[in-house]
Amino acid sequence: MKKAVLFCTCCGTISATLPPDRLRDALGARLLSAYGKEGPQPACEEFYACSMLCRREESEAALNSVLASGAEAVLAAGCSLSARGFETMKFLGGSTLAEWADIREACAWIHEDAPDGALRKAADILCMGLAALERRAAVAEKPPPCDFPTGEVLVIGGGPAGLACAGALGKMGVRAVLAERRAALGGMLTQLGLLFPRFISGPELAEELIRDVKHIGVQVLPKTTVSGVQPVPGGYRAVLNGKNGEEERRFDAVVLAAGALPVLPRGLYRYGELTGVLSQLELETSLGRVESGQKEALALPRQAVFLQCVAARDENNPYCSAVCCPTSLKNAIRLRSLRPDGSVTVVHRNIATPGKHLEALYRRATASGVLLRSHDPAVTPECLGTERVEGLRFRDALNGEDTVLPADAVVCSTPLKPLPDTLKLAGSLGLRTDGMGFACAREPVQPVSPSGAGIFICGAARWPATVEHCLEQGRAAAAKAAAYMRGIGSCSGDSRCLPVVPQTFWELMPDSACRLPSAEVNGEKCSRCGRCAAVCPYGACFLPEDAGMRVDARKCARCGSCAAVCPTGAASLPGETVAVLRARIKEALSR
Amino acid sequence: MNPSLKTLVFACRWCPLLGAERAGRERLALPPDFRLIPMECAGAVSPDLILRAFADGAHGVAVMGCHFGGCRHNGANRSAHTRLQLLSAALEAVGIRPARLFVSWGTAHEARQFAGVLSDFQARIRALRKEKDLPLLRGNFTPGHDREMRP
Amino acid sequence: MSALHADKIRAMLDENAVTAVLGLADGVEGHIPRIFTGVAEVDKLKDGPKYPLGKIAWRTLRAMPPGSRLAVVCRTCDSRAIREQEKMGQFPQRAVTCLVVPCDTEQALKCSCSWPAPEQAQGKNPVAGLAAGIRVLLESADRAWLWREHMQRCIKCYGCRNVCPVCVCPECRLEDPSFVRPAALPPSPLPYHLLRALHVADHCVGCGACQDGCPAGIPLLALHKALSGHLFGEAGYLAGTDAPSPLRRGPSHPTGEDRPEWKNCYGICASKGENS
Repeated sequence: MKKAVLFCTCCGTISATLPPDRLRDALGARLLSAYGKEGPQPACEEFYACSMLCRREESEAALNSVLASGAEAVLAAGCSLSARGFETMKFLGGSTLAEWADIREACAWIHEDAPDGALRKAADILCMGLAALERRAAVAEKPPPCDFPTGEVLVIGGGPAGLACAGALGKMGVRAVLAERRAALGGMLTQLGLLFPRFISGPELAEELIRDVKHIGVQVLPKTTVSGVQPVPGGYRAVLNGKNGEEERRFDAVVLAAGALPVLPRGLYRYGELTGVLSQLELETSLGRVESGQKEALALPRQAVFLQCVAARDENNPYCSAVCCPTSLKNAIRLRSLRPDGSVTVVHRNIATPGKHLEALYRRATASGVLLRSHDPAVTPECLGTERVEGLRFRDALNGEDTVLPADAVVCSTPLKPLPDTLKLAGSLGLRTDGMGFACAREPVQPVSPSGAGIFICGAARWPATVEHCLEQGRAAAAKAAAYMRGIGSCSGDSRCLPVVPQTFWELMPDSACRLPSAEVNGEKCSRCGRCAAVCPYGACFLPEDAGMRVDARKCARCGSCAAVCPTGAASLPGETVAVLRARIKEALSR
Repeated sequence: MNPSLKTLVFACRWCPLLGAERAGRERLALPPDFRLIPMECAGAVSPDLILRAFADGAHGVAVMGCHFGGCRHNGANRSAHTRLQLLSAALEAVGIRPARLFVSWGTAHEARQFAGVLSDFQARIRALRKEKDLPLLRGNFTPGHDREMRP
Repeated sequence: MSALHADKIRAMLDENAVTAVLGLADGVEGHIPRIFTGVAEVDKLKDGPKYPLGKIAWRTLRAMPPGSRLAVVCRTCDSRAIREQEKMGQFPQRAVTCLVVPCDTEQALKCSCSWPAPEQAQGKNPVAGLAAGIRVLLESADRAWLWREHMQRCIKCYGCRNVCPVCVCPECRLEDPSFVRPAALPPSPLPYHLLRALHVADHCVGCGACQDGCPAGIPLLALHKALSGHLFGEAGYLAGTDAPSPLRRGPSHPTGEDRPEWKNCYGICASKGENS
């Protein structure tokens, strides 16, 4: 096979130590000695030197020139991969079988004071690359078929996030199974009245989402708990307890949308002791009843004081729960419109309403007459009253004075905290949890995907989120899960590109041309000994019952551990097989 | 002319290779006798290839990977460590000098660290150049021994 | 042939618990392996001197139709080797039942065996039983020279690999021309003898079939035992038990490492599923 070498002098910085003509002669002599004077022609006839291979015009011109001369493979020698090598390789590898050799950082620049040694080393490096090209060309060039099983996605939780996710998955043609622990779907939506910004009620939104999900053909399992999910080679195994009793099923991917739990202000602010001290959820229910006509508006509090950050941002729940301020303002607006004769004051430490819609909500609240007072958290506010609540005493943060606001209701805004069952599921999946107990995804690169392949997390299980955010995240997780199920972004490309590719490029730009094939196992050479499956760090190698070992292309990250332990070479990385490495080693050491 | 004492260095392309590239950018001087092969992960280095490298003419083989806890591939370096320890035991059992196989899990992507580690390794290999384990390493046998085997 | 085993075999054949029995029987010049399927033939089974049956059991089972079950009357080392074959997925679980005949002290000394009977304590380092003359091969300062002398007699007959009960690969790297040059004698020791020793290291039960079968008298057992000794010293691992090999332990945490010093960064803690 005719090969060509594109040699970059890097504007003289490489050629100062490695003059191109001396290198060409050394290479020629090396190849001639390998093939003998009487033997076949040296397999490298083109040696094209240019001064800046990273410039597109130069690399295009060089490539066209060597391809026109009949070369079928190209070895480009220049700087290191992380400098300009990767980008140049992306271009070259798109047209022909190509290999990159670093002769700058790896040779010219570290051996400036040993030019003879550097020349010998550079000749070795080029020979290694040429031998690797020869070996890589010997295997089939077409990309192997994407080998991964196509099964189902398990969505755990039938709240807004889970419903949005299952509906989106169904619309994308991915088979989804939705498990909900209660008899009715909808999660928190069933308890919420009007939702911002659409101002439809929670049950109405739930009905919409459920209709979508049922219409699209998602398999819905109500009254089903998931008592354990764990990664197994080839996917995930879940134990479902539903109407058929305990059932074990295999899934390809899992979406954790199991939600979070609202904290009740027990033991705080005389909740349960004084009538009129309510939780936000209780107020939500009252407002809902009035809005649907079941209750009189006059039953609502006239002078309501909303207290924010109750049981939040303290030692027990040391975080801002993100949904309480929007919920308070939304309920304050509703209360103002239902009881225009009364007053609503929100007593807060800070108001957290980031983003376009929540900013609009804030302005709407203040425009409708909701009063806002900020209190100094150093002094804990106090509910005053004997049997009924009569007021709230707090220290005003602006003027530093102790103030008493008369009130016939004090509404405590409490945070969402992780559900113990969610934590257990996260634990069995091997997900990390942060200090607050919520399962971690790989922010910011992969906001809904934790580190294991095929696991996705959305909604309040991930972090307290408003209903709108739950819907967005649910759809994001569905998009990611669908892409995963189809192997998009995983190792599925062909092996013509450089074997060693910076991984971050590949993750951040999944439609990059340089996608590499996953490891594969040759069934004829495989003895099913299982060494590869035992050492695979991703659980990508698995053993189907009736065949040899297989590799799930979606989980494979091409680390090469399987190839390192396989005694026969059945497991290999296409493009950088043991044979290719063997050829490199031989060229590196044989002279 | 000094005969070269070639060594083969497998460098994982996450930490050690970045160190190597930085050493290049800082123009640190290194002995030219080593041949570097970048690997996706140090866990991809097959002990069989290391044995083959010794037989082919390497005076020493180094495997450089990321520190424990820092492997991008979910700790594949730990499995690699177990394998390479076994390889080291095998070489030691037949009398190959242990310094010939150098495994480093401590490299971060720092230029001077890479240069220092590699230079030290080359120096240790140079000190072994006249050792008696070389014939076994290469498979160089007494000439004519096979005459006794022929019928 | 112990009566206990004979009765048990008859019962197994009667109940159809096994399809065939592999054991030693009289041959023209001594004991040879035989396969029996009939209850009446059980009388032909004899105790004999050490004869490695592990590989033969493997080959036999592969030649039998799927679903077959084999009983093997063998020594402890063979039974452990067969357990390793099972761990390597060579046949379905419980397809092979081993009826073990323990070795006497004389044989145990000859093989440097640390485990001649199944019920013996497992805590013995494989290297413990090696005779002094063999120990020198692993301890002498000149052992590189000694090994070279031994290995240059190798004629690449592949006998060691062929008879080894845990060498079960369909294609062998020792026959891969890029690793072992064809028609070159003797083979370069590292990519041949050491390569094979490394491949079987965590499965080698120290049966010594390789050494017994080597026509050049290379002391292969010492090399294999050195590796088993290393695995024993590092991880307390002995081949032939249910314990998983230390070479097959995957990374400790399937989704990444948590270092204690990273515990307080960004509130990330190492707890998995517990509310901290």
